[in-house]
Amino acid sequence: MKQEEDKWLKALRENMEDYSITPKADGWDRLEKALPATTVVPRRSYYMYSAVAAIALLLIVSSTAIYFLGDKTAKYTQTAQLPADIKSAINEHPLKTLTEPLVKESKTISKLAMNSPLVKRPKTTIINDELVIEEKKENTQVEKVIQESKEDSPIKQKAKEKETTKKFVSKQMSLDLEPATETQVRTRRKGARNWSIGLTAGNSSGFSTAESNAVLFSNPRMKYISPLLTSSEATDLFTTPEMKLNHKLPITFGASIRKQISDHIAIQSGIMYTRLESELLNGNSSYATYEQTLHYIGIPLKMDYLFYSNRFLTLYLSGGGAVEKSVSGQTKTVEHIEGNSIKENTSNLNVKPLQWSVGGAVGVQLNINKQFGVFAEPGATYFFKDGSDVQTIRKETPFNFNLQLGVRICY
Amino acid sequence: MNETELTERCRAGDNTARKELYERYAGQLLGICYRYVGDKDTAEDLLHDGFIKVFDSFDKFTYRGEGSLRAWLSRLMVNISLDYLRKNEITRHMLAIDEAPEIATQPEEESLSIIPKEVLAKFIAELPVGYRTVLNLSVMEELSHREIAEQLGIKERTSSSQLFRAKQVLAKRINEYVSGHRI
Repeated sequence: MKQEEDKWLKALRENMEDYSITPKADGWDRLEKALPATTVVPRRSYYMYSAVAAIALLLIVSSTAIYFLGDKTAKYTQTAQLPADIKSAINEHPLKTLTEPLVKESKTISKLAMNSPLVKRPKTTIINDELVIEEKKENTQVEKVIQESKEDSPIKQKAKEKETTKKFVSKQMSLDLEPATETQVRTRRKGARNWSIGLTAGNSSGFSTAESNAVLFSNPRMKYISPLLTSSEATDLFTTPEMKLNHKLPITFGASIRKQISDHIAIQSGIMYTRLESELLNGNSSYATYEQTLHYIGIPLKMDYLFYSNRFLTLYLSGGGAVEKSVSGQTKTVEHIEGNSIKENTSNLNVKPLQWSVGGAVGVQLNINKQFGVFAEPGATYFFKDGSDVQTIRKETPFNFNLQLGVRICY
Repeated sequence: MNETELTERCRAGDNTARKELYERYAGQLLGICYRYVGDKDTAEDLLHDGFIKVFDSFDKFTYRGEGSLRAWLSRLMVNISLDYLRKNEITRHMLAIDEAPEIATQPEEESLSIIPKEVLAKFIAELPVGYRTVLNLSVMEELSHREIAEQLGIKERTSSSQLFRAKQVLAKRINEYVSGHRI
């Protein structure tokens, strides 16, 4: 009896569960009027505005960095001046007879150089770079003097620059964090939508590039330039004392996969490719160029904290590390006379140790639709010493600010 | 739009999403209100009030997979309906139980499926308010008599006797309908 009773009631429940009555036609209109003024319009425009402002700030920061990079390069190209004694020696002899004795007597000349005051020298097209290079140990002292004489300004400027950067970054942070403190922290991806894949491209701009040129003549750099120049061809190198070393902005491409493990936490990994390029330019109309290119393949591992999300915008903090391995590297020396290249020399450059790094970033993602988003991640990365002698931008400015841009597909 | 996105967008105050939510669930939720209050106009009013409350309290909702949104909306509507009934002092009606109920034959399980939902809803709606409320809470919401007693501020025994009587009345009407439509 009892069981039968339960059965018909159970049937009643199952039958009635999806029972529905069509509401009156004006039901929604009445409801819409009664609802508090929809918040989406002001909010949307506010966050869109924030996002636009964030991106604008990023552009300002990046271009400031690039501006300073260019500026510093110009300033420090005149850092290197050869001693007057060498200058006069060179002026007195024709080039071909000059080079051989110079190499032989380089020790003597270097000693002279050590004791010589630094004087400004007019641009000439004939100077033997060998003098600077061959006797790197002695020259170090010259370099030190050179460096010291200029040390004040780069450091100050560097500090200033860092301060500026800091300001920008902190502005950026506070802007991004505002919505989170204002409204309840929410997240966008839940349930099934917790996997995403992304493609990124970016650079790390050396914000502290002031040093790059000042340390041009310091020992470690000489170590890797010298094998090129101590070869027999090296004596033919025509240079002026003006020298430029540029580390180009690293270029990074990556593909990543992200797994959301809770409402706010996501883990991200993938594969990334980085290209580091540096070039050394000597002189004007007759000169040698030196190019160094390194290709790295790396695996990042990051944890993202999503602190705000709505339909249009996702904001997150990202932190983690990466390990990279140089998979190939080349050096190329080209010698020019009056604009014509006369000699090219290419060789491989191997960097065996792994490059480890840690970093953090603030991510701003614009959600174009529910699956597709574009993001910008301004951040900072610290590159640990890899123990090799090869000079890269990562050695000179281990602490880098960078900007990654990319697309992300969620499913 | 899937439920996750619908939820997020309603939470963000997106009017398009709100309308979509209304269109998806208004019918079912109106059905619930009607079962409780037994009157379509009142049910419409409660649906209206209920949705305002829904949009106001989306922050408190956590999406826990398929069906959780509907369950949450339904519970909210049940509560709105109960509030209404409480204000109208249903509990006083429950105490006024006089004569012993007529014992009806329990309907066949199969007969429930041949009766249109509208008719069943009308049978429930036409039950006296006390019967109706307890039947809804017990059979449809599957609450225990203790829970029903807490919800309505009545004794457990009152709840079970109301249910017993509700079942007899409902069974009788179902039987009548089935015999009237039997070929």
